[in-house]
Amino acid sequence: MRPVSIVGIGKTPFGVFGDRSLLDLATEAGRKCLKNGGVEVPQVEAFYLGNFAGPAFVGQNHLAPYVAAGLGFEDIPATRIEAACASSGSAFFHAWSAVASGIYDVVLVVGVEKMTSQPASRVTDILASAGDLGGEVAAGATFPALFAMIARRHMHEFGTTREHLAAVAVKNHANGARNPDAHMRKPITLDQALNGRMIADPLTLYDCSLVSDGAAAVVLCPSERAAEFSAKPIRVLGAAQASDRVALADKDDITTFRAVRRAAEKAYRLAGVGPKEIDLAELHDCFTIAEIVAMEDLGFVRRGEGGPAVAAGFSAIGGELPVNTSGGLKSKGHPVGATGVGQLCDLALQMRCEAGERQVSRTGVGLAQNLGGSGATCVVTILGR
Amino acid sequence: MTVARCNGCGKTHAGAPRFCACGGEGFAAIEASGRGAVYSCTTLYAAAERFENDLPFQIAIVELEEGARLTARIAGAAVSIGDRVRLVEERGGVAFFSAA
Repeated sequence: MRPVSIVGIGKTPFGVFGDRSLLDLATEAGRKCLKNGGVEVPQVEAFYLGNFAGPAFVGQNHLAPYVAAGLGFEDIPATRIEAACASSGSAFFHAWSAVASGIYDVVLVVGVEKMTSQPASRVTDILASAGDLGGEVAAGATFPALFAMIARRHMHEFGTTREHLAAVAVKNHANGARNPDAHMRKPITLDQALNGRMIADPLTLYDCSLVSDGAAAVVLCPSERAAEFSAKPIRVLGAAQASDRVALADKDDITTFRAVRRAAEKAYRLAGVGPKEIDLAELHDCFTIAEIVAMEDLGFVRRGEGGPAVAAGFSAIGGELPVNTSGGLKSKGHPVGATGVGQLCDLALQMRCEAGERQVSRTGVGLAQNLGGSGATCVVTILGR
Repeated sequence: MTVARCNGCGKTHAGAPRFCACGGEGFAAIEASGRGAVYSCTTLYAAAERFENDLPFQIAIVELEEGARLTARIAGAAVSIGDRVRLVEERGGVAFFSAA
């Protein structure tokens, strides 16, 4: 396996864009990325697209060649990867595997989702299809409800409180307010977060990530060729993907995600680092409780200590290990299929010292954790300079 | 209500499992008592289109006395983690439990 680097990044803002199509968003991110990396269209040897539910949200299927053609690619393999909210993390993982193993040199990965053209209850329905349709979804479960049950159990076993959950939302909104590309650039107070409209007890509207449109892209090549394209390449130190059962009730313990632990173990081993060496992270805060559980599963804090750590400022900008300096899914937005690659773009911005108002000082090693469903897929990626 | 017991390790599963984590593929259907305890639960105030008329409603992961877990609807008074519950009906493939 050979070392691989990210040589270009590109993103659309995340938000509600009534006048923009899936193709429009995906090609904007892709073109910005190639330009950012100094990569010409004919140099790209393969294209991977991360997308969760384009066919349900906008009707179009066969999306990989559809977007590839929009980007001007001819003949090259174009592959769509679907892994719920980890779709583009997984697309990145497979692109990285292909470059690392020597099959291709230059590969473009785009993640995209166009969600806001559907009414809220239909969006809930489409998202729920990433759960177990015959069991939990038939009983009426939504994703907020599944994560609410995770939160309830975590509270029961470890004493996590609603204030701990709200602290995640307050932190991520404060960070997102400093991100010009974030969906919701609005700081919130602890009081607001605690008194939001109840969605699935104990989760309020402020515990839930946003329904957004958006796209993100990265371009990869072997590290030995990185200097041809970029003055600031970012090295992929390790990447790993793991799976678990889809239904929440089929997991032995819902206060921890087995797939996150397994992917993290592998990624740490490949990268030759441990949780203590991580300087900053983008974690999958689809719900506030998910960021707390991820911090524990990744070994940033001990089990049960995620909530108190966030409330004490451990993961704030300026804290010991800043988490979601971009605003996270909570404030930056969560265009499902774009999220995994979006996290990598945000880490790369920090590691290139291009993160503006939200720039942190220590950026040697960054970690991204992208979760699919209620933990049935997880991709962990570790970047370095 | 029946649950599937693995012929290999004896673990019970709700629904129709294809395999067990122990590697076993053979299962025996056993009659379940219909009694169990709440492993976790939530009350929903927003739902998918086809459940909007039921709002608000409570769902739970119920751990049956036989060990298997399933996601169920709660009928009647709200329950909390650890509460004993019993099966009251199965409708459209969904189990409804109430406080025991």
